Amino acid sequence: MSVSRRDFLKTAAAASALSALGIRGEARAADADTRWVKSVCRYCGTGCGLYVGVQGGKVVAVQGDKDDHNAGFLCLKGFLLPQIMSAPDRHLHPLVRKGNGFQRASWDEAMDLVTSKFKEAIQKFGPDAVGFYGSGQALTEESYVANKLFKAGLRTNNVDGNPRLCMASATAGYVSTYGKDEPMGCYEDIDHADVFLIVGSNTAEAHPILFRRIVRRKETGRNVKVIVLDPRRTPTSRIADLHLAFTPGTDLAIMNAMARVLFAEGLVDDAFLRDHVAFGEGQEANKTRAAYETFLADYTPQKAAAIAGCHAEDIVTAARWFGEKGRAAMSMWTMGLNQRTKGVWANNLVHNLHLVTGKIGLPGSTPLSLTGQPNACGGVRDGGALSHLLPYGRLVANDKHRAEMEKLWKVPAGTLNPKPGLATIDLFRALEEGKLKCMFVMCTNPGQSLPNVDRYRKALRREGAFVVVSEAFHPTRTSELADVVLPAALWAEKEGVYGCTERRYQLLERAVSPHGEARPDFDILCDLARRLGQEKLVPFKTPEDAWNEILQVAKGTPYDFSGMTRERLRESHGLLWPMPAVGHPGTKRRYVRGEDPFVPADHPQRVKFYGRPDGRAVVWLRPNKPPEEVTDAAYPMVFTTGRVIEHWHTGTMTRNCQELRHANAEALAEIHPQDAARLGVQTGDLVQITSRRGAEKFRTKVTDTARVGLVFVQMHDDQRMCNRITNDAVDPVSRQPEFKICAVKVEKA
Amino acid sequence: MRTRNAVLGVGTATLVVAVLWIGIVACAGPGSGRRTAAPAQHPEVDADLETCAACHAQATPEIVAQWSQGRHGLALVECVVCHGSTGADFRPRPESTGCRACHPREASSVTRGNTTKRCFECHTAHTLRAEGKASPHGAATGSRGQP
Repeated sequence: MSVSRRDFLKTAAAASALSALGIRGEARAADADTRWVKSVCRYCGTGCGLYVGVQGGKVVAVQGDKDDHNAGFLCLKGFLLPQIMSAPDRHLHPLVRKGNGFQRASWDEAMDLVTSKFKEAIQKFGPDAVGFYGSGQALTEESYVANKLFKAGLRTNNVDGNPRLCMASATAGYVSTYGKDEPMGCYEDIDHADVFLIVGSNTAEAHPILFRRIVRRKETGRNVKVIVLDPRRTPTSRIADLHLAFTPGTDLAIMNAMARVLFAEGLVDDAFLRDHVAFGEGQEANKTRAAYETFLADYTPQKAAAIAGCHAEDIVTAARWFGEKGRAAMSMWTMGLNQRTKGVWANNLVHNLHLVTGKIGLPGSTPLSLTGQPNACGGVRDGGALSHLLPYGRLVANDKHRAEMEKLWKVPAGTLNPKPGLATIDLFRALEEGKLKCMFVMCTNPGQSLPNVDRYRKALRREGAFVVVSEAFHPTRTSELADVVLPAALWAEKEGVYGCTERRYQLLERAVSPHGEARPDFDILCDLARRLGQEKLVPFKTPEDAWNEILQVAKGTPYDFSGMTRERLRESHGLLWPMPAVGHPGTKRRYVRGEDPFVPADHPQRVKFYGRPDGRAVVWLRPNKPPEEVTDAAYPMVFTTGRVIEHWHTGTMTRNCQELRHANAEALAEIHPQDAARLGVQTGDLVQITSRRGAEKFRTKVTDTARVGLVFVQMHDDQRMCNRITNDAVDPVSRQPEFKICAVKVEKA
Repeated sequence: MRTRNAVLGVGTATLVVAVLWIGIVACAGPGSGRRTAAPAQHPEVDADLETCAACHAQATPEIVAQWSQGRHGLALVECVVCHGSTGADFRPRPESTGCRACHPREASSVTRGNTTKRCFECHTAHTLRAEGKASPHGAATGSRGQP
């Protein structure tokens, strides 16, 4: 029985309804018969440890792991994980397209079809006629097998994945500044930080358990300051001592101005700059400190404030708090910086602040990029499952790296193609152009999550294109476009490793059997390899077999986690690499003498940025540049997208939780009251938002948390898709699209 | 459009009382000192665009304020986490087993024999503070490696 709230409050019948309703049992109850299996949350990149409660072969409960970094805490999505396992749209049987619909098929029929289509495309058009589009949600062993099969078996580097939409700019930022990917700090730094610079991140909603830890630090630390740089006043701003709101796309000017203040007020660390820092412009570290200071001269707080639409004194305050001597400063950021056509530069500018103040590699002083997916770091970035990468820091375009991998993978020299494959947007454009004939999409939903999505939805259904989707749910906005939909096992139904934001690797143990005929993606990939004649390359019987090979592939690299045997992963509550030997405690802070095993114990300084040939991190001269698309008379408002706490990614999982649907029913267009008055709309009114690429209708939420001239829509709604509107222009280095900023017009519908 | 004001403005006096009663009981939690003879249920409501807290900010403002200013409010542990959704899924009195999902260490440290002591005997619902009381959690309180 369901009534609208209006009806409920209007009618006297509600009084009797109170007694008519039954009492619900405790769905999440666990008792003495519950078997608890160690795992990790399925959602964001925080990587919260938890136990899965199993009764009668079903997941009935979860409980946070008190011995993991999250100290037992889970956010509301994690708390409600059991509901996703038996969701009504779990995909249970292979499906093959027949006309405009699907027909149930056996695994053999479906896989035979996939095999024949991939073989045919490769024979007729060459290896680059096929591609794999993977996921930061796949297990490490799954991404590893896909990467190996496609790059070394099928001999195409067209292996990319949704981390390209998410973390590519953070990766390129770390690599360009320090020479190696991945953060050098850890979550424990939160407990030591005196100042938090949170920029382009709604941590409270996107990474709630880390936000909780920041809150705790603010409560217990001495005069802890939180600076939030965000155009919107999000829930993260509730703990901000300074919320510096600005015009979207102008934060490069703000961060350069902060650096200028640091120099002007003597807050830089001269010794650190002398010993550990180089300066560069473009792609060359060929500048001097003097050149950098000259470059910064143009970024007065007043000028930056004029560009950014903020107060100059707030920029000065932020810089002073960040730079105050003797206080630890920690920065955190995510898609607000990464999903930009200047995303890599924005990342560089955050690193600059740490490098000029020397606030890096010390407890509480670190630049920590927050990751959006549970295994984007461990599986895809570290595992090298992107089109330009090979496993564990190696590059496709590097002759030595390819030779190493050919030896490790026991394939003939010259097997690996020296030309990088296509990054995500280019991969889907190749599908659009007919150059890519077959695509395997695994554990992700590009039919909803790509920017300018209607363009690529057409590409997925192009005549002659053959698209395989392996998914735990059906229909999704991608599986509905597929030629074959394979039922994938979900989360607690399979075993493997996740690696989260802080280089922490954790084992997810299998708790229950897969629903229906579903199979783990690992098994699907191994089966595909056998059918394609690659069983020698992919001989694995279990994920543990693959993990043991991965340990060998990572050995001797800066990632070396040889100490993370399967047994140790089972016993532990997360291990941080580098961990080059069994018995090694793991590394909380990279590049730090006494902590990082790759910094010699007798190194004369406290840090060594060994990722770069000269051991120096680079302060980059990155000028302020506008976003790809700026507002004009025809498209006068800025459109941005992001997360809400109740949902995750494309909602395939969270929309299966009744409580989460109840708490946040649909994507709304959040508009400032001034804009609402100008447009003549009120909360609840339908508006159409139109960009140069597409349009979508949303109901309006008028709120002063928005910024004048800015409209925000959450990214999770599969019916009201914000990505019909977003921009598919990409950062020239990271190839990450600019989801965060485009120009739109908003009209009452 | 079902704005909050419109919805709340049309209720009869009886129903407002009923809703307030529901809210108080729903939010009181076990051991809060406000006991009722039988657990109330929250009718299944099409919330439309509103959250539980948005409606209850009118219906039970004190409770929403306590939640909002408390740890759960700051951490966005929303009403649905402890109380479930409306209708048959509604839990007027959150069980301690629910607390255990996120607070396993604390829940494990307050046992009497084999029975988990109910969290809300000390932690006043919604504020969740346990002021002036000696902690029974001992060294178990807090977080691993965290203050």
